[in-house]
This record gives sequence, structure tokens and C-alpha cells, in this order.
Amino acid sequence: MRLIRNALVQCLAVLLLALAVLLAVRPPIPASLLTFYLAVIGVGLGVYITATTERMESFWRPLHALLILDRLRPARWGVLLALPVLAAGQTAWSLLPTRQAPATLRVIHPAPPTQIRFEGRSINLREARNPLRAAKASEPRAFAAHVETGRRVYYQNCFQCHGDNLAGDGPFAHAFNPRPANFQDLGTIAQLQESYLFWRIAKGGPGLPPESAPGRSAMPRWEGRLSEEEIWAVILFLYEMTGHPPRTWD
Amino acid sequence: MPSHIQPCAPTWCDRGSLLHVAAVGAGLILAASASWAQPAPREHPGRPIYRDHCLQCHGAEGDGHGDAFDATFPKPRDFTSGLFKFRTTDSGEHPTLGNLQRIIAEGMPGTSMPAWAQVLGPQRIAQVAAYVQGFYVQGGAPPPVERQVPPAPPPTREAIARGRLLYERLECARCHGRAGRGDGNSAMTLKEDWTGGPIYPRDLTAGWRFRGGRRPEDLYRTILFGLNGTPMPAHNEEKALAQEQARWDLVHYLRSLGPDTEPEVKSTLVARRVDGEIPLDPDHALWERAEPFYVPLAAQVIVEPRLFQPSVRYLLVRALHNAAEIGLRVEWVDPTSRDNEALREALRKAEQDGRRRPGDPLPVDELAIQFPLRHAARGDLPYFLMGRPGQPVRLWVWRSDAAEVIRAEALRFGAWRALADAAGLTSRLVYQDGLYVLTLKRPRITDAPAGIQFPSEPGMVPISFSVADGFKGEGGARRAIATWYTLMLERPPEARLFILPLLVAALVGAAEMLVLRRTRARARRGTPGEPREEAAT
Repeated sequence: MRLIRNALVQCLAVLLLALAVLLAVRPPIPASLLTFYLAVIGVGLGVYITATTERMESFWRPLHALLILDRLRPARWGVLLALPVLAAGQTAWSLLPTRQAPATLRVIHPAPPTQIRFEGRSINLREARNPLRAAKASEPRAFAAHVETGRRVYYQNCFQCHGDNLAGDGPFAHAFNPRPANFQDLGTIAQLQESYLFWRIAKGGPGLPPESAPGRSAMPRWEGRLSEEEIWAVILFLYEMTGHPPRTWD
Repeated sequence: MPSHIQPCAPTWCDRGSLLHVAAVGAGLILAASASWAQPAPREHPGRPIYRDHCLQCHGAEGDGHGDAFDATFPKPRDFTSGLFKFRTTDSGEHPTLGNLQRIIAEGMPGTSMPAWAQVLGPQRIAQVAAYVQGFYVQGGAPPPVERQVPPAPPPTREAIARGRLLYERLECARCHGRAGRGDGNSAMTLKEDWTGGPIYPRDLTAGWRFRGGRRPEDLYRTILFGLNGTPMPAHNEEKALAQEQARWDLVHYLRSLGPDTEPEVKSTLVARRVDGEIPLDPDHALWERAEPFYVPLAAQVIVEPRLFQPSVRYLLVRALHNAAEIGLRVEWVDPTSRDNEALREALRKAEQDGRRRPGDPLPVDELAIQFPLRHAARGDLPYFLMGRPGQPVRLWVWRSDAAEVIRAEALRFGAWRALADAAGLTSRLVYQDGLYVLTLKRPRITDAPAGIQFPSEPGMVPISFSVADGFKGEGGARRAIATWYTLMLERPPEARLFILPLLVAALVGAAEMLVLRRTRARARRGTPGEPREEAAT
């Protein structure tokens, strides 16, 4: 009981407990963030210790005793030796050459061009709407047929990379970097307009601007392989299957 | 009775179907084998699930002719045939409902059949499995007898050694090859029953690609009950496997042939720094210093002509460098090569069938290693499919019909022009038991300023790969592809790595001494309220 009332013991216990919890969190917390959290906890403990004189004394007493009491001599030299060794180890660790190439930054959703040429025809991406979507309210049967067309296009051309369930995890997905887009994720098609998807599908990886690393993208250029209507149909299918509404201009 | 079950239609409302309803509702795997008669398809609870998730590949009629038929290999299962590979029932029998549920839940690695457990959950998987059963089960057929797979004993060194003898005795190597890489003598002549098309024996060294599962129990099941519709026979009548222990010995041996989890995909291939000469001998001990780097390969479905199912699915790459040279060691599984028996037997057979004339050239295997010729420092690499006009890539190409690796300039994907100058590039290829191992090395810096250089600063060069298996009709643009990776030259140890830590240790030590001396001096003077020194020495 006396041990628990000691401020130093309390601080060490809190730090160890915090470290254990932070290390147990999955997915793992990045090292820089971990250091930051521990620093915040350290500041909190500092405030706690310095709040009263008794606590200050209780914190320092064991440390002081360690430094002067003769019966603690082995422990004293143990600690005094361990600290420089730990510091040297930490320095060496931080100096070890990295074995990971720096991550290449790329803009995932670059700004689209105002207009593109698709099979010799000019399409204004600002104004283009999915011509098949209008049928959703007026002609449910025709709309369902468009979605079916989109489904056929998807499973004939896209699922190998983007996955059966549109989650970007098809059988070939992990061979590519960047990974194929996960349409179920809120960060992809849910944030984009349909005309944006048209551009990405029609022009593929090679149509990306330089800041989006076009050389790395495995997204094929579908212009010439899919018709304009097929592309709009597969876009319809992506939104219908995931349940995301497309982003609109207004 | 669960609410989703439709009222009984006269055709299926009998005792069996009531059991069936109970089994489906509870998702019970064992009880499922007792339920065999099927509900009329229209009102089946599995029907909408099938329509939303299965039909695109397996087709509305369950015959495997869905929209994705042309884009998949292996082809989607034709349920109407009633032939299923992964069963705990006797050879030629239908699977149990539980067998179907397991494949739906866990998928088939290396195929376009994904795992549905997360998407559908056990109850809906049970419903759709029952619906699939309806494609091949006629009304009053008796359910198949479920065979039990006992729990696996732990693997031991002795069990693996005994299993190896069984592998030889049962002549598994005739198809699967001596080292298990699917390169047995008759490996390329096998046919499957659905289409009569070719089927290839499993490469047993990549457990993460076992379609029926990689657990010991999965291998036990496949060995014992065979794979319906394929040349893999059942062995439950096999005398050498009559004892339970012998069966597990064989399973443990097979599992010892390679890892059962897919290696981690990383982005940086580290070339370890070594002092000695870079060895061209692939078995040289120095190569063990380099960590194997796993490169998964995908089909090239981007430019014509496309390839949907690549033969080679991964590479293992090792890299080393010293002050003057850089070396790469690339290995990949290819069950056919110019002078292996698997290829010779397949070609003999093709000649007998008239698919090939005796004088025709041998199929050519290829490996191309690719580097960008000019690239901006920030990310803008040439197109990963061998560049494009204005963004060229340099290739190091090995072909099975050439003695040495050549340097080449890529023209477009799958086409290149050889360069006359070897720039000091030397190589060596070894093929054994279905495994190609190519080692190559080159001076890090060459005289040609326009070529690829490997300087210490920044020590990073983008690298990519593509492979073709000639026997499977690959070559040109039809090849397995990889994305860009970074080849990183490990830095030699620097002096500051040793000096700085010592300096830090000295500083910390000095600070400690200062605190120690001051504290002790103050304690000797006797500050009130602090513990006194007991006996100063």
C-alpha cells in the first residue's frame, strides 16, 4: 500500500499502462504519434507531481535515496550504467540506414480537365451528366436494363482488379501500386461526380496528369474498347451496387 | 421456422425438406447432409442472393456461362454438372451442403472466386449454398455420405521424412514433380472433365494458392477423396495410406514444401552491401544474406493482346551490391523448360495429335527486368508497361533460346530492340525441378552516360519485371506483369553510426556523475527532511 502512495511509482505505473494500451491498439499507432501521446502523458504527470510539495517530495525521495544510500549501491550503479547504454542504443537505432524508399506522393483525385475528346468528339466534363440516369425516375424498366448493361461491362472488364464486391480487392489487385480503387470506400466514387468517373475510365492511368504518377497506374484506357454508353452504364452500376449517390454540381 | 422460408410448394414439401429448412435456418453444417430435396427455384430464399452475387460469373442457369465467362480462368464452375472438387464425400459423389458453404465463405485463392464470409454472413451463405445445390440435385436423390476428417496431429521431423517416402512411393512426382512444383513428366498432358481442356497439377510450394484451402485438413481431404472432374484421384482405398498416421505424414510433407501464407508485398527491394565479389552461382552462400523480395504478378489485361491467367504468379528477387557491382538473383516457378521432360512429353503428345509439326520451334520463356531511362525525381515514372514514346525504359531480357541476358530498348509493351553493347552485364541461368534461377550482375557505373547507373546517391533505382511462359502461349504483350518497385542500395556503415552513440553515452554519463556528486555532497552537509547517509565511504 505504501508503495502505491509513492508519486514516482504512480508515474511509472501510469506510463507503463499507457504504453501497453497504446501498443495494443490495432491498427498500430505510428511511432511519431506514439511519442507525441507519451509526451502529453508525461506533461500531465509533471503537473500532477508539482501540484503539491508532499507529492514532489514523495516523487524525489526514492530517487534521492538511490543516489546516496549505501545499501542501494548495486542498484545505483546498475541504473547509472543502464541510462547511457540505453541512450547510445537509441542514437544508433535512429542512425541506422533506412531500408524503405521514401513514399512517392501522388494526387489520388487530381483536378479533371474541363473537357476531353472521346472518340473524336468533345465532351465537356463540367456539363456532362450521365444520360442514362434520367430513366431512374421516369422509366424504371429502362433504368434497370442500363444497370444490367453496367453489370455485364463490370464483370467482363473490371472485377479482376476492382473485385467481385467492388472493394478494390480482385485477384490481381495486390500486384499493383497504387492499388485499384475501392468503390465501397467513402473516399472514392462517393466523393466524385459521374463525369469525373467518365474521364478516369475513358482515359485511364495514361490520362492522369504528372502529379498523379500516370506511369504507375494500372488502370487501362477504355476509350476504343468500351462505347460511351457502356461507360455511362458501368458508372450507373457502380453507384447502384455500392448505394453511394454520385456527387452533383449543386 | 425462420420467417424467410417460403410456404411449402407441393414438389418439395416432404420430410427431407423440413430437415433442410431447419439446417438452413440454423446454418448447421453437419445437419445439412441429411437434407437433400430442393425447393422450387423461384421461391428459394437463396435466389436473390445468387442473383446479386453469383450470377455474373456462374450464370442464371448455373452453367458457368455468366458475363465474366470470357474474362475468367479457371472458368466459373458449371453447377449443373454436379462435379465439385472440394468434398468430404467419396470420389464421384456430390459435395455436402457444408462443403459448398465452406468454399463460398472462404473463396478459392488464385481464382476469381472471392471469399464471401464478410459480405454475406453464415445464414445467407447457407441459403445460397442450398440454392446452388438445386442446380444439380434431382428430386429424390439420396444425400451423399459425409466422410469425417479427423483433427490433424502436430507435424514432426519424422512425420515429414515418412511423408517424403510416401510421396515417392505413390508416384505423386509423376504429375506434381520431384520438388512439388507441378513439373512432373506427365504434368502438361492432363485433361479435365468439364471441357476436356488442359489442367495443370498444383504447384505444392505455394500453399497460399491452394484452391481448396491450405490447412492440414484441406490437404487430407484432397488426397483422400480426390478432386472430381480432374486427374487427381481419391486415395481412400490406397493401401499405403490405410493408416491414419500415413495420411497425415503425407500431408505434413506436402506442407513442408513451401510456406502456406503469402509473403508480404513490400515496395523497396534492398540490395545488401557485401564485401566480396557478387557471385553468379545461384547457390553461393552470399545470396542468403539478401532477403527474398516477393513480387506478385498480375495478368496483362491492359493492352492487346491481353492475357487473363498468367502462368507465373510471383517472383522472388534478391539483390546484392559491392563497391563496383550490382547483382540480382531472380527465381520463378515454371513447370516447363527447353530440356525438361514435362515439355518434351507435352510436345510429343501435341505432335501425335497433329497440333504441332516435328520441326516447329520450341516455346520460348522470357524474363524482362525493366528500369526507367530518364525519370524526374518526383514520381513521374515511365509507363510501367515498358514505357512509352518520350519515356523510354531499358530492359535486361533473358530468353530461353539465348545464352546470355541482353540489354534492350523497349519499343512498346512486349517488344524491344537489342543493344549491341553488353555494358559488362553477365548472367547465368539454372533450371531445376520446375524452378528457374537467373543470376546477373553488372558494374554499377558504366561508361555510357545515357544508360542505367546505380550510384550510391541517391542509391535508389525504380525496377519492374515481366515474365512469359512460352508453353502456355505467352510472349510478346501476353505476359505476367508487375508494378514499379524501388531497388535501394544499402548504404555502407558510416563512421558516425559508431561515434555518435559513444558521444551520447559519454554525455549522459557525465551528467549523471554531476548529479550524483552534487546530491551526495548536499546529503553530507545534511539538508533537513532528507534521508541521511548511513555510512559514507
